[in-house]
Order: sequence, then C-alpha cells, then structure tokens
Amino acid sequence: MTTSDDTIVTDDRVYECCVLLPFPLSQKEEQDAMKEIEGYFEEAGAKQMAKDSWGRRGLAYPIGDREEGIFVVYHYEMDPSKLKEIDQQMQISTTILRHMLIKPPKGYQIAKYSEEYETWLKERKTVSEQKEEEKEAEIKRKVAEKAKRQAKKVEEEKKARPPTVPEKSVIEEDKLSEELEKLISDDEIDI
Amino acid sequence: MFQPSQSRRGDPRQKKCPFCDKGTKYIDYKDYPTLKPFTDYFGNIRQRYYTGICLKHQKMLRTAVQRARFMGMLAYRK
Repeated sequence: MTTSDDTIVTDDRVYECCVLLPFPLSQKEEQDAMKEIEGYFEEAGAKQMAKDSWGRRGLAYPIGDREEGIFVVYHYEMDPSKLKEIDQQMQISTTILRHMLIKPPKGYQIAKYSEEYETWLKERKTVSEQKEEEKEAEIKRKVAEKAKRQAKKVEEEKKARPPTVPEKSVIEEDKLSEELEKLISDDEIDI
Repeated sequence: MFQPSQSRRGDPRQKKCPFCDKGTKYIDYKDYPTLKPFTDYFGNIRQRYYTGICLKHQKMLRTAVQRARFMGMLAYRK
C-alpha cells in the first residue's frame, strides 16, 4: 500500500492552466465560473500552487464576438493521467472562451504577470512623455537657431549698407535737434 | 559621383542575442512586454536577421508567440 502511495506522489507534476473568460460578467457569474474551473481540478485531486487573475484586458482580435476578456492563470500540481479529463470538461463548458494547459519547464518560477503588466503600462506612459519632452526640446532648439540666424542676417545687412543710411540719419538728427532747439528757444509760442 | 554608403545599417553579424545577455532559459507567453517588440506591425514574428536573436531563443520565442496568439494576447494578423 505504501509503495503505491509513494509512486502517486512522485508522479505529480506542475501544470499551468490559462483560462480566458468573457468580460461582461457580473461578479457572481465570474466567481461561479472560477469555482467551476477549480471544481474540475479538485475532482482530479489536484493541489493548487498559485492563482493569478489578471482582470479585464483587451484582446488582440475578437474571440466569440468579444473584444475584452478576463484572464486567469492557475498553477496546479496533479497526476498527468487526469489531464485529458480536465481538458475535455473545459472544452465542453460554455462559460470558458479559451483555455490552455501547459507543462512549464524545469526550474520554472511562478511569477505574477498581472502586476508586471501594470508596471509596464505605467513605464510605457512615462517613456512616451519623455519622447514628447525631447521633441519639444528639439523644436525649441530649432527656434533658437533660427532666431540666431535671423539676428546674424540683420547684422550682416547692417554691415552691408553702412555708407548710405547712417550719414543721412545723422544729418537728419542734427537738423531735428537744431529745429527743436529753435522751437524751445522761441518764447513766442505758448503751449 | 559614387559615394560609399555610410554605415547607416549596422553589421548584422555584430548584433548580440538580447536573451543570451540576460541568460533567459524560458520565454513566457504571458510576458507581453518582452514579446511585443519582436513582432512587426502586421503581427508577424521579426526575422532573426534583424533582431539578432540566436536560434535557440528564436524557437522559444516562436512557441511563446504562438501560445500568446491563441489566448488572444497577440494578433495573428493585423
């Protein structure tokens, strides 16, 4: 008797089960669906190692006329001979959209990807913001360069026409100042 | 006037496998952020020639992408 028990224990392997549920589900229905799935495994005498519900997530393509779904990832330790029964039961059930049973490789460490995905989304946002900032900085730099170029052009133009313009202006200024002095010196005008 | 093309595209032989650098032994199909950059706009897996992945990891990536596609995380075709 003891030997048979021992063999069963050694035969148990870790299996990964990913299930896709349709998104518009009420909380009761969702819990019922999860209980249903867990029930299949419990019937087979499986031991739950980890459960990771990702929650609502968009699908890359419509499955069963649905654009969004709920992902749930289970890790079970169970007898490989009962895998077929579970697979068939999952295929028959109407609540599950897609399911997948996988044997993870040796030395696989169970990680929660739901949290990683959220952190990645946040980081991605920051990355996009950084890109925008860089773009703005580039535009500013270009504007500054343009302004510099325009200033240089103006200076060059000034240097190009020094002989004509300033003399006239000087003369005009002299004339203006003389007239102004005259006007000021005239006592006849009353303001 | 023929000018030798300046090295805009790096030498493909000089690329290094990004998974080998990290020392990954298994590429997970649930890891969307790592899989996404190795697929192009149309949803195809990028060629090894362009990404520089070694053959061992490319095969792992293929299985991971196929699994992710089945579960609706990645697109088959856009």
